Amino acid sequence: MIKVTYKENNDRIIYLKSEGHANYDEKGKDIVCSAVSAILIGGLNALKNIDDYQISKNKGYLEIALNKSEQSYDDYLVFKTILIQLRTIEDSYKDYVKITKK
Amino acid sequence: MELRFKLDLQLFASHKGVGSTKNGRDSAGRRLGAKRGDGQFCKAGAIIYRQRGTKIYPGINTKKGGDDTIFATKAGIVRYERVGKNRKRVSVYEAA
Repeated sequence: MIKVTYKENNDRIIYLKSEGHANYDEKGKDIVCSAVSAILIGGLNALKNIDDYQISKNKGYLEIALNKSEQSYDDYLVFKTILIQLRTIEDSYKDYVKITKK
Repeated sequence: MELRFKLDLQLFASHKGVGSTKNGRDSAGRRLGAKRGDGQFCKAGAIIYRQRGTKIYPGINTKKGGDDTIFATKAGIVRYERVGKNRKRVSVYEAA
């Protein structure tokens, strides 16, 4: 199961972490994993102020932390979009994706 | 717009490779069964029937080995016989 946790305060998403394996199917055929991967990596590329974040990425692991006090509204919308998209997947694949707000 | 992160569509996929499976092993066949047919001549000591357990019981002039193999103790003609309702045995009748 892919576990997504995030922290939001004062209209800023200051932290987002996604870890674990979907285990929906074999590597190369895992559609749940590819959906989550596309949303997260696409989202990263959409961030305007990428240097405001500390990002660590590995197999089955992605962590994004805001290391500034301010977050641009554009980036905030990117994170909101990421979360809504992930929730849309979670809605259909509850056994494989779980989103938690900290 | 420059894309900083390369897409890996299987970033959150399990490690198992494609088509990996834990099964797919089997031992070679043990070639069990009859080694001499009914009415066939056999020498003393010849193996008549290879088996696991006693599908066939030893009869006259035959014995059961440690691995349940039935073998002849005398030279003669092999005969498969019924014993009771659902049992079989094999005997060797010495040629007259």
